[in-house]
Amino acid sequence: MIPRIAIFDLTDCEGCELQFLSLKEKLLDFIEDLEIANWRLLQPGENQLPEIDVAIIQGTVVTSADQELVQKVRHQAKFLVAIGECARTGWIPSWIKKEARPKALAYVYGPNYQPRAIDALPVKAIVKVDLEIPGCPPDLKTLEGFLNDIPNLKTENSFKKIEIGTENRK
Amino acid sequence: MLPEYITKIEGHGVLNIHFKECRARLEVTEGERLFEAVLLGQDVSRAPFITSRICGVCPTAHNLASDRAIENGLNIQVDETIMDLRKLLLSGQIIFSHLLHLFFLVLPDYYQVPSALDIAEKFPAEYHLALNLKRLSDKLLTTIGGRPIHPTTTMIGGFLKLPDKGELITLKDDIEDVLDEAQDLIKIFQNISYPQIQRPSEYLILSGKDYAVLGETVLSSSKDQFSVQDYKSEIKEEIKPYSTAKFGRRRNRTINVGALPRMAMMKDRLNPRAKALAENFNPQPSTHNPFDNIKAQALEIMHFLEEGSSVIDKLLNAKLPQTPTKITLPKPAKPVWAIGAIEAPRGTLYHAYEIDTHGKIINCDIVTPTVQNLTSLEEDAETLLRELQLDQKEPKICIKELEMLIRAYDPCTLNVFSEIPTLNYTPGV
Repeated sequence: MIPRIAIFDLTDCEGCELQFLSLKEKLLDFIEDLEIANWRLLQPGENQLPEIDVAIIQGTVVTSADQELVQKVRHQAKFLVAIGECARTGWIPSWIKKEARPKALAYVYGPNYQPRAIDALPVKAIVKVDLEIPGCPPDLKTLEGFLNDIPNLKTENSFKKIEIGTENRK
Repeated sequence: MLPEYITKIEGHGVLNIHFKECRARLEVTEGERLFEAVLLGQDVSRAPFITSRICGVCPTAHNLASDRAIENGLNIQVDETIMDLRKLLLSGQIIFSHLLHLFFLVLPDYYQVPSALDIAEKFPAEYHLALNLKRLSDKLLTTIGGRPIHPTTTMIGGFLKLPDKGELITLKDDIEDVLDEAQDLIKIFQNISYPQIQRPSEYLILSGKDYAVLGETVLSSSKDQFSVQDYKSEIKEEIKPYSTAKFGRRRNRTINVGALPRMAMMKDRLNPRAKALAENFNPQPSTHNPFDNIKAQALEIMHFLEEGSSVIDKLLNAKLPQTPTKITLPKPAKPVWAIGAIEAPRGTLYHAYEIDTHGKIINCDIVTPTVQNLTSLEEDAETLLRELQLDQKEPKICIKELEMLIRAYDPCTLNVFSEIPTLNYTPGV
């Protein structure tokens, strides 16, 4: 069985998932040994979410759809990774606190606007996160190190923790 | 069930179609990130860092538009070499964005494969070509801007760090090395047969002495022009009765910005190889076909590669400025609007900040290319539904054709914030 991964973007700039494309040929090598169950930016969507070995989530939890997606993904995923500052900390959207959001929404969208957003939160505010990869966007060496570790799940039955800023920056 | 987002576009959108009435409704479902509100109260010098994060595909475009707006508002003079370096950086940004759009998002439609990752398997030569061009655009953006996504070297008035001339020579060699491959890639997109629909529209581009990416005047295909400073009175946001959302228009006409308008209006100023490749391509605003945007983007990849090479030649003969650029931002004597624009990959991008006497942002307005194109996209979708008689085809085929139209526009729903949360038609089925 090859590991099944899935990439999800919440509310974000998509820079983190574009970093994967910057791996170029290396990404293709990784993909040969992985099954990608979901990647909206690049491939047609599936209606049902299968069981996932590794779910990669980027972006801030902003809408109720974001929140529901994170919960569904956690339910289906053995291992959940929050990638980038938005998923890890909520980043720029979270600079506006919940109580200040109505005023901010009125400023940007006018007084009669029905907001989609509920708040701006990191993924760990909703579900348990197994690994966080920092950076806006994360650097390529870190991503490469992370992708390298994915197949180890099968052999070691657990993930080698990625030491950010040490061995992967050689 | 997962939400049924339109896949292979940037950002999240849902398409609703009313077949009997030939109506389509593209609902942008991106959550509000409230960038304009985030900027309120911030020191204006922080704006370029923050606005870069609006879009991971065109971060450098937002970053440079932000720099330009602040320079205009605070009367900061920028020397010609800095502007040339920005031109080089923007060339890399446009190649980066077009390549992502054309190869990874559009081409799977025409090769009848689910994703670009399948192209790698079934068309390895083409995939290799695209990766080599991607390598080049990543390198250009890294050499000048620090990195491809969210630049680190740019600043108001200049640069924090610049490459030495040796690195510029290497970069030029790398550009020259991919020109033949770029030509092969362009031919792939020229040889595809696209749906033929037509409708008149108005094209808007930034005007300069060459095929401009930087400038202070906007040129219209209606033979008139306006100052970037007047964008707010020229580009109107229209309210429709069924929606609280507004739609970009100019004097009641739909407008288009981006590669297709640039190509249609500046074709005689293309660089030589791009010009030769564009010989039989004569798009006109009077017979606007949105699918031509795909060919225009492909041709622009060649144009901006050549542009990069010639800008490097010019830089090699100039004295590169000391970095970091020494600058103190003046505090305005009374609140001022700082307004600037650049040509982003998808078209003219306006940033405007009102700066108070403490140098803080007190009002903010960002008008993106996608917002300006939305009204046209809506009308083109209806034209497509009518002309191709999509209502008599299988719904599945109709949706595919409409998705192809939406992708041809290269919309970035991440960028559709400023008062334009949804693109609404009458409710679909």
